[in-house]
Amino acid sequence: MDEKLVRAMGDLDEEGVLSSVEAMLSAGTEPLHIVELCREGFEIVGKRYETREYFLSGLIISDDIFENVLGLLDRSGCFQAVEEEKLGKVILGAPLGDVHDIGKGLVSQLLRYSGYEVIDLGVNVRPAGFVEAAAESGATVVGISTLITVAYESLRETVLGFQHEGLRESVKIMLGGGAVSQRVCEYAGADAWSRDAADAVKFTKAFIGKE
Amino acid sequence: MKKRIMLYPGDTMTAEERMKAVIRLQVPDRVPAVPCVYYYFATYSGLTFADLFDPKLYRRATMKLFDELGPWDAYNFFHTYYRELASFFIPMVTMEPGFELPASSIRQFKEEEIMRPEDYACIVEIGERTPRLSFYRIMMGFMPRIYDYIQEGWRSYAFVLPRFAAQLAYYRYEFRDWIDRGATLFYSIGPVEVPFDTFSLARGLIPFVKDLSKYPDDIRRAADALVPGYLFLIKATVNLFGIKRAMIDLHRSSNDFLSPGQFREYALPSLKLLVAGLKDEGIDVIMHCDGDWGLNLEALRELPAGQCVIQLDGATDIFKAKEVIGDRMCIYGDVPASMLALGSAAEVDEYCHRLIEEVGRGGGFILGTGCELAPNARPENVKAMLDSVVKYGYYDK
Repeated sequence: MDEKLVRAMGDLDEEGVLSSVEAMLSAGTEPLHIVELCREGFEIVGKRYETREYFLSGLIISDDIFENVLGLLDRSGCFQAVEEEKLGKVILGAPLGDVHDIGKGLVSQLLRYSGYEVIDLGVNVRPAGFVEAAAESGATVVGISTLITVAYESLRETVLGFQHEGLRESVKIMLGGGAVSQRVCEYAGADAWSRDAADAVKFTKAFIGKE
Repeated sequence: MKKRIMLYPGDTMTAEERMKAVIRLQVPDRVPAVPCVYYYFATYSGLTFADLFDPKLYRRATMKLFDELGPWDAYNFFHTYYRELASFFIPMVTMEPGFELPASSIRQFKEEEIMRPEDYACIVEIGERTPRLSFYRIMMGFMPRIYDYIQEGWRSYAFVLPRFAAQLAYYRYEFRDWIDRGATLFYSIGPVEVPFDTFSLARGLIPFVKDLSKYPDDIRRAADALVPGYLFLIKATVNLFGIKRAMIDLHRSSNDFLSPGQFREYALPSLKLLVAGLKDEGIDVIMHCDGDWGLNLEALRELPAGQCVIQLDGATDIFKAKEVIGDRMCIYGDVPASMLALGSAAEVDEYCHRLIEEVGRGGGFILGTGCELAPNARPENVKAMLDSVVKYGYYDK
């Protein structure tokens, strides 16, 4: 049954996932175990997204299926979320002047399913906002996503802000979004840039060093 | 007889002749250049972005850029002096400079549900009852959902139509500036979001992706039902301005969003229907393809040869696109925004040279910016891009 659930999740087969979960709940399976199996399924989804077997629409559907699983677990009355140990903290946000948040939301989703704690600062975040959040939370990875070229200065100022506060060595900064490229990464002084959400997770894993 | 104005001393074709040649995949005298400009008009003239809503300031800024850094072949325009009209073509909640945003910010879009799931069925019904007016009727329905000061029913028509008429009059007036200088219009109407992508924008990405699983047939039917309305709108505007080209936007059909299978199944059928309808009228199509289209290119071969232009924004490998569909459609692009904003003039020159040599080989190529010219582009980089078609772009030299 475990394998069936993982496979159904990986295949984005909502019906298969929900019927497996119902069957497992009836058989008395621990809800947290079900969540863990869903996470394994997500890993398959993530890998298929990386290899371009799945696309952004696949990620959105996987999120929807998982929400429905959580709904089933909630209704079963035997599910209590337990605070798990996270692999690390990641701060995400769109820079000052940019209010787009879809791409950032998807990176957040993938990171959460990969076991990281995500602190989402939202959109239009001042450079100091990123620095303050990192200082307060102790996050070691900061992801900034932008779709507009006029935010380049804001990206650069954010990286400079980390330098001024003496935090640059302890924090890795990655950029993402349609307006970003290697050239922008170098201009801003960031550590990496990602073309898509899977890249962002790869970078986080590589830096934090835990999977 | 009309005077044939040549943009450069070495030209043997007018800009319009050149444009027609490249779309027919023929070899013109030289590679045409068509930057896609809006906010850069403001930065180059020292205006704020909000100033571009003023027709006089906008017009002055366009001509200053054209006269000082140009010329270039065609006017790729997508401005409206009434903010609400922009939502007519991209049905989303917008934040505009000088309104919700500081005058120095650029327009941004918010993902909100302007359209509801039950609207798919309504669109099919409207399409059946009033096929030619379906586009207007749907968009008029969306307007009060985007702007709380626009009321529903006939009042939304009363609000939008006079502004629409005034905007067309402004266009007609300012087009003369370009024609008098030897440039042509890139299109008579654009950019119009295609039906499938309209739904994605108006529903919001996440709800729309879920809709694809829940209501696939409704979406297909609604997209097809809107096509006659698009054809009516495009034909009317083409008749008004006389240039038999239209630009259509495909913001949400790339492989950044959809799998190639989803593209073929949901987005391609109404696109083919629209392009075929325009072909019947002798209207060429410029497709503004944002994002990575690499895996959809093969499917685009199903569109008629020698009628379409594909505009790429740097996310698609333009050199590969030349190999895959260069024999079917004209390729347009793709000097990246980040190169124009942060690179050097020498880098821009080198990249444009490569584009002209490789993508321009055998004709069927328009040099352009990848999507919109970055508002913070360096003037020397813009100049290097425009100069490159004269330096490297003549086919007989």
